[in-house]
Amino acid sequence: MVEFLLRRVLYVIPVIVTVTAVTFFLMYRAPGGPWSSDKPLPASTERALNAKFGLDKPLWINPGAVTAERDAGENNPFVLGRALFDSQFFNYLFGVARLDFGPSYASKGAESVQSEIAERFPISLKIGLVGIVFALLVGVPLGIISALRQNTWIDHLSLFISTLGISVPTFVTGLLLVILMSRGFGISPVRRPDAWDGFGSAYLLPGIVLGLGTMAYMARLTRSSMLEIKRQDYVRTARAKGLANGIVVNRHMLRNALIPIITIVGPAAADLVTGSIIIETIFNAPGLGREFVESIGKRDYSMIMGTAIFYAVLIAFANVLVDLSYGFVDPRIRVRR
Amino acid sequence: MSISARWARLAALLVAFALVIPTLAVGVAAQDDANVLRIHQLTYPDDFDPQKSSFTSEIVVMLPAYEGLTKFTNQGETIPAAAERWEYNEDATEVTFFLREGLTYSDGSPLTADNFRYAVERTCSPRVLGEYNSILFEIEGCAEFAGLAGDDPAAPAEFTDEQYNEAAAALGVEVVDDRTLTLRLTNPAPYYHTVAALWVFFPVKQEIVDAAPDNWWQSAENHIGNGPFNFTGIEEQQLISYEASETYWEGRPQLDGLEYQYIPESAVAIEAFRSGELDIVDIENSALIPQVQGDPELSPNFLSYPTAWSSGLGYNLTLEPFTDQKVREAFSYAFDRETYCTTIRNGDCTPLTSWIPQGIPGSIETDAFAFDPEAAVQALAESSYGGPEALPEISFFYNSNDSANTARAEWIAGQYRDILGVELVLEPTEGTTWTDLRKSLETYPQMGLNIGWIQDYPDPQNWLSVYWKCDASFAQRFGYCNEEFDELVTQGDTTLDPEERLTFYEQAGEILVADQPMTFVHAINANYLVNPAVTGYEAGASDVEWPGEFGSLMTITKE
Amino acid sequence: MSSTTIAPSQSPSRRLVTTPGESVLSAGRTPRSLWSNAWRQFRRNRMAMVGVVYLIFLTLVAIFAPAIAPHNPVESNVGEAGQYRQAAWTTDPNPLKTGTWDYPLGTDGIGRDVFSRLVYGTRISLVVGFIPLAVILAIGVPVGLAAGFLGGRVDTVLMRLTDIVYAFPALLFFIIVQISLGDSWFGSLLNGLVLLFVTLSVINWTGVARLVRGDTLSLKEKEFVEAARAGGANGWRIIARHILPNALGPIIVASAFIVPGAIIAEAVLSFLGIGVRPSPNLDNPFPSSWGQMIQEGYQLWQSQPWMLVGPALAIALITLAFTFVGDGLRDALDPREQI
Repeated sequence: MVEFLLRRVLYVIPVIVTVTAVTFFLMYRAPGGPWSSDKPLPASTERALNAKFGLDKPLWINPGAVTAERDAGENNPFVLGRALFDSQFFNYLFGVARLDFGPSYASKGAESVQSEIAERFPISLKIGLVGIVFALLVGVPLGIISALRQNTWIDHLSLFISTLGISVPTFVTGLLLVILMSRGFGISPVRRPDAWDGFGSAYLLPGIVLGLGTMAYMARLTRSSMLEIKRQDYVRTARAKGLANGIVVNRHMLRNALIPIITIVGPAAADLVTGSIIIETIFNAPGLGREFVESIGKRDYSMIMGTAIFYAVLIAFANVLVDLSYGFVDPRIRVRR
Repeated sequence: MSISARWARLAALLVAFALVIPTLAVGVAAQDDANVLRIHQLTYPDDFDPQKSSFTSEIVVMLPAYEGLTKFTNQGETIPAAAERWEYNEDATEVTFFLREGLTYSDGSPLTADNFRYAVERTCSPRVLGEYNSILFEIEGCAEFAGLAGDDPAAPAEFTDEQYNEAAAALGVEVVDDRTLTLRLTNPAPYYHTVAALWVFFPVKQEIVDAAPDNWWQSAENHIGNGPFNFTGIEEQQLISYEASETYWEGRPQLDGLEYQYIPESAVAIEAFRSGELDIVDIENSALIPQVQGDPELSPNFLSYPTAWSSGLGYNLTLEPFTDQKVREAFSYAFDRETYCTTIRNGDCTPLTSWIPQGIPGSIETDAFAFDPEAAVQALAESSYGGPEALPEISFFYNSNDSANTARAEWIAGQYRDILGVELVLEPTEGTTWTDLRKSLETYPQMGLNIGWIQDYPDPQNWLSVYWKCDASFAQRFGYCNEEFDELVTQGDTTLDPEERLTFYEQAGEILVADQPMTFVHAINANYLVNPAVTGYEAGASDVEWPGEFGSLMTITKE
Repeated sequence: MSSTTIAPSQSPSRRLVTTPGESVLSAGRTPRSLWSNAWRQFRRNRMAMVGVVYLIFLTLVAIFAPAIAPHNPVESNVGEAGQYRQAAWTTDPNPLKTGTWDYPLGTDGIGRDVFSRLVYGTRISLVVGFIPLAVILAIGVPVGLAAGFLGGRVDTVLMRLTDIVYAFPALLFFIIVQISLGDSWFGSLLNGLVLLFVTLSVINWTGVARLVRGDTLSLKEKEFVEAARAGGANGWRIIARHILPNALGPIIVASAFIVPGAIIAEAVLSFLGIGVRPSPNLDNPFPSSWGQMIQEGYQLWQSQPWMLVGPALAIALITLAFTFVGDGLRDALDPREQI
């Protein structure tokens, strides 16, 4: 078990390297840089800014530095190797290894990427948590009833709700809900900054809007999986043996029907936590998702890569949790290796 | 049956519960504070450090709390501020500012000429690296100081402390005494008292900056300023608040306080206006204007006025077919500015056939190359291409970050297709890419939407010399150069008599119209919803963030 | 499933199974082809057939859009069509805004016919829905089956690969790719649709792969698979006969979500200003998309409701159709429901 966990944690390393490399490649391919503005920036100022933030180094490897070191009479392979990797990409990776995600360029170094993440992420996390709890709390029961009462009005209603949940984009549902709540119930469409401290009611609406799609998906998945299980031999056997319906539903069906749900809960939660960009815009929440999109626009390279890595690690660990949870739900699937 | 029914009931209850919860969560009721003006802002600034900032969203945050040597009125005049008067030497290569007596910072400490010298030094410093340092390059030694690291890409971008101190000392900023400051300029510049109103002159306190050079501006306590308001709170991405200052030389402003609320979605801000939680709302998306105007509750509060923001269709003058003046003329003739502004942009612009918007010093009136489809076809026929068939493919770029631009570009392309028979290729371009493409002649878009200029300071020099002169980096980006124009604006730049200056600039403006280096289309309007209780303000052409941001801070009130 | 039925069944297909005469047949598991049986079963599901008919209808609309749409979806003539004209049954003091059946759902901000744009939008929505779906299934299902069934090293390698791809936050990846590659030759292929397909597929196959693997893992341990294995069936046969049909349910449900998901992703990218690129070409085969229309209309839900309701309804209906077809397919392919 411990070995399994350790192994899975180590697997995160190639994930980080790949995510960094791909993000880095894509980002530098995009035209413009962190100092792009309409105003004429003197060449010397731009150069000095680049030097200040290490953006004057080569992108991937630095053979120039190796030649320079060798010309200086340096033969130590360690020093030469370090010189070769004195590039923007590897310097960033080395920084990440030291848990240093670099300065945020958009703030011109006023803030570090990790402090930005530490400040912004809790808000996205809380919205995402409300979302996943809402999705589970509504989606799973909705799916169960639809399956138990297949083809009744409640099944149709559930279908209607889940269709709405996935076919209307969040910026539409979000905006409509904000306006309806404001006009119908006098709930302010904007929130004061302290509303985001702690875990207050401000998180409710954005969380629900965010969780709507996942809720719909969970309802459909639960329903389908329940129907599947309903027809399984052992359920039939249990019924034939005369077990009360409730016991059949509870002990036999639910536990098995929940397997696909559990498969997606972790990733779905990670998706919600990392996918609240538009919700944060509509609900004016100072979360990390919005910051991330803005940092792409600003070519705030360190912020983009730092957030991408952070999110990737988050998703990777959500997956580890899923793998672990299989064993708990269905003891026959043991954690192997 | 019984247990499964219980299951179903429990599940139904959970669903109902989850759907009902939101209705229970009652928001905080809007507290109607005494006389606090609550203003909607769309974009939270990246920084608001006077010597580093350059965007309008950044400047508007600093304006209430700081003041330069001079300031602007709503009509775009430059009037005394921290300096009570100024004097030029006979050829306008030196300007001396005389500060008011007894000026203090909001903490009561004295404000002297040294503080303003520090502002200039900090703007030019190669250690601060403000993105808009070039705006002070006319001050002697500023360009050299800022460029200390050199721009030779092969040499390391380094310099010694000694070099630094030497260059700093060589700056043409002289503190004659506590209340007298002289700026020595590289060239005659009779407009420099206007430049002295800009944010780069805002006198931040050196001891505060030195304590945290990169991020001092992030906390409200560090903003010890000399303006009519003091920072009281900074909540990133959310809210910036101010209270009236008791130490401002002109007295106490009418308002008790000011709030900028950051709401990225206009439709949400409009809703907050409806429920009385905002006093001024920026309607940046022109698609919302008809809805606002059609709403009996909102329409009386709608305010729209032209700003000092001119834009139109830009061309790369070194790429075919826009090397041919006749083609540019045809494109200008074929542009129905009236329909575009009133209908397509829902009235959020004012048609323009010249460069400087009406009402701004240096503007001219002309109807040359105004909408005339027949003349358009004629001009294209007279061009070296002889008609639409022989034209090369034309790519029409626009900034896709503003989602409204798509429909605008589609409409414009449709007009050229219908009137001239030219089919444009639309190139939606992400914001930063769009900025980057326009940085050099090699990548400058063949044709671009909304290319223009927002004034830094209300002087024709800023509109004409800074943008269109052969050696201006802007004109060089798309390849415009006209010696005759250069001569006229240079005369304007160096003439002391205001009337005489203006005639030179107006003649230069006529040359721009004759050359049609771009299709002048419109001055962009600013559109707001304003609470009828708000009075005592006047919107000026510089006010692109809220009506009265430059000239009405003292007089605007909600009572 | 006769006397102990939990919920009273209403659907004809359910009732068929419980008919005593036929359930005798079903016990025999006749060797008739799985697929022809499935088709028979599917045809009996009324809602599924409605879904299929609707999708065929949409395909026809997409193909014959030029004949159906009353106007060219690109042409804009505000002087005649009027800007922001109301739907046909709505009157307005301004004659240029009063509804007319010439423009059944009114016109948009530059005077284009909303209905015609809706009709043409079917094209993008169908291709954006189907092409990535096909690619996603083509990659995700085999990878998931192989990893789950073969296990061991294959599983490790495939799952590590999946983990890496999965770790990219989806929406953020779309945005970076669009900004980075959107202006390349590849990014402008087919109005940028090709780039959209590729990014949608690259990100989404992992979800299907993980789902299939999870199902396979659990099915592999089931009695009937063990029985088949004991009976000497080889791997392919077990996969084809036992695992795949049993795993189809969740796959189909997931697929039914991928299509609207892709359509919505296109809308969200439009919201962020990086969707499909427009063209002034009057003969452009893909002139409008529902996603873009929703983006243009969502703030105008009060003054121009049809600019939002039209495309939103269209997306909801296509989602519903997919759900019905998905449900029908799942039931039809369920080995235990074979007649």
